[in-house]
Amino acid sequence: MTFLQFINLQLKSKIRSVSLGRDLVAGIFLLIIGLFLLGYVILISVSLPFIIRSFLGVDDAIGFLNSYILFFFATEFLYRFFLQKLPVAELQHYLHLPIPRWKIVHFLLQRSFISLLNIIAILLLVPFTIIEVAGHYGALSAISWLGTIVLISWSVHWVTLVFKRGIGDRVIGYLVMLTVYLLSFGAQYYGWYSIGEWVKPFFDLAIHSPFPMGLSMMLLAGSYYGAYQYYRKRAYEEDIEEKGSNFVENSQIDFLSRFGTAGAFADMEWKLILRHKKSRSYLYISALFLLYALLFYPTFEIAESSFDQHFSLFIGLFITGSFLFNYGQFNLSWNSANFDYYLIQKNGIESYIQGKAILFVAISLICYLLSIPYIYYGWPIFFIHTAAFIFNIGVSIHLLTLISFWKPKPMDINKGAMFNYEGLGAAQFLMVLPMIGIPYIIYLPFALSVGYEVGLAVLSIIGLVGIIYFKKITRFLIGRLYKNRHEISSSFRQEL
Amino acid sequence: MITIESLKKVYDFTTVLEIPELIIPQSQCFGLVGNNGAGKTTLLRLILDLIRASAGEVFIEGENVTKVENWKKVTGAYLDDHMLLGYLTPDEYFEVLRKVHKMSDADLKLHNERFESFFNDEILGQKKYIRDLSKGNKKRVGISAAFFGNPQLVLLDEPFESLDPSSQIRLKKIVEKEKEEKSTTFMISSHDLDHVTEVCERIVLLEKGVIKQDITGTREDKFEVLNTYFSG
Repeated sequence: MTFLQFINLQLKSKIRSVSLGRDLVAGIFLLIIGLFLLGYVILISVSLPFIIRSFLGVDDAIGFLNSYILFFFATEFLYRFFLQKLPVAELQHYLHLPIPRWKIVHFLLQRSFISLLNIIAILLLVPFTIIEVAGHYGALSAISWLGTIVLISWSVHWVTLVFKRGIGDRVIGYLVMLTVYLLSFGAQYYGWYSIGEWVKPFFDLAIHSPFPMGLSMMLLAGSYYGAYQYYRKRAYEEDIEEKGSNFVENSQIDFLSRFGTAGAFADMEWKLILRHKKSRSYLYISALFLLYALLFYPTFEIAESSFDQHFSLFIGLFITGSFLFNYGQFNLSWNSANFDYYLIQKNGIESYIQGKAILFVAISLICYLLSIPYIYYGWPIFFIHTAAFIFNIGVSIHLLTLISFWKPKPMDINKGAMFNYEGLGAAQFLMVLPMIGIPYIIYLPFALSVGYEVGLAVLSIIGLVGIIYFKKITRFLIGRLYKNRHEISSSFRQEL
Repeated sequence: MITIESLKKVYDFTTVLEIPELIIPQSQCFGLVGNNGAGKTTLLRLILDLIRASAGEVFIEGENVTKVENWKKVTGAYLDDHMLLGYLTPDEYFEVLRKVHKMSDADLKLHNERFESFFNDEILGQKKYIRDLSKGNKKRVGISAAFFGNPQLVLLDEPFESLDPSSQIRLKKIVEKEKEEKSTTFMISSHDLDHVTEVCERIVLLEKGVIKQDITGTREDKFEVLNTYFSG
């Protein structure tokens, strides 16, 4: 078996996926967004020398960039952490075949390298390199300088792979991410450029000597080898599956029992969320967003700055809705394994949809209540969060449920860890766009023309209408699901 | 063919398998029997180096399975659906296997002829992905996949389960023929005492990860021993 044959199989698995429609739309959107971003990247890169010279008034553009390059790598690490997918799930299809284990691991790792993320550094810096570095120091210097940066950027790819698999889904992983965030933000706010200055000589040297490029080459080789060793050691079936102490704790939520069957289903769902790595990580993310606001609010002048007010809506939507956005978009997929069970229950579908709604409202409410202390930074924050909360539970919940009916992907939640990573791809974040975009489309016209209070009021009213007609909307959703039940249930039975 | 030395598998402080010694000679058809949770699949997975042993070693033809990988060339296995590529049709999957096992087109044709009656025109030439096949048909694809590349050792986990009666009988014939013509070694786990006593000359009874009995003899003898054990 060759690498090309392996890639060919990978392509087939994508093309023939039962959720192709959904994947395709997501893919096209991602491509459009990607092209936009790349366009920006190119725009920035072309104007980079100009920006540095004219706006920042720095003469030594290269030196300036060199002192900032560390933050570029930090940012890269952050987005790679969220966007990069881990090549583990494929393992089990090949392990028993007469292909050496090292070869399979190399295939999987090298496949993961084929990604748009790995050309960003090149695109971002090529124009600058041609204009500035090549212009002043010649082609060889340009190659050496750009090469050094690109090779380090590629090393970040391998480091991220190990990091994400190692501690990425534990609390500590999120803490590390938060620290990196805080450090780079802090550096921007308070001007600790000393770390950047500290590594600057290395990149300065790259212009005059091939030595740094050689060193980054070694770094790349070393990080690939490290990633290989790491994945090679873990290339066992038991590492793909979620293991760990399957301690059973009683996590019954008593108040749910008031809602009858729907409550029982909600309670079941809550247990699923707690006992599965991926869904648990969504809870962590929600907590993270609660803290995330701390980065912004202290610097906001919420009473005066209208930009700050508009931006706070974004934060409010995220705080009260991040769990919804993450979990809700695969609403049905979570139950793909026992979807038939709901179908054969009396009022099963009805209670199923209601149970989900109850749970989402409860989680959203908890996040909202926890965010109330932000009043400390100004009353407007309270109103903004309230409007965001009302809109989320009045409109977004239903919208997400509706979206989740469309070509749902079966998810084998018993095979924990491998799907644990699947949910953290780029497509996952895509769904966030309409969930943020729609409220803004409603809010902005009023907020810009009259005042942000009016924008919030309109949002709240629409949300309230959604809450008042909660039953009616749920009935509509139930009807939709009921109509598509055969198609959905058969798609859940496919795909290994 | 297979030598197992003080093999042990522990999950979270519970020992799920502990075998001090087990030797399976060439061309033996070795049956594994035991109630759920006895450790049958764990043993098969350990032999295939799909999971790590907590202690001890497995040797296939004298090779430690965790150290070298040459044994993979002489070993075929089908344990569960995940070993297949669900997004391919059976023909495409066999084509992939042909390349992996470095076989010629003629080899593949020969292989398919061998399984012609087992497939019963329901596998080859079908415009269906493996994931859309019924349970029994998936199993037929998987079992025949385990015979690719003329293996000297074939491991099958519950091969009779979910196969229709004619396929069960045909599978037994295939196993017997392979054993006779190529002196292939088999390791078959099963809950079906009828089939396993018929096709396997030696049967090991596992319970809670420990070997309780190692049975040889005539079919009736083996069946009798097992029947008494499981009734009790």
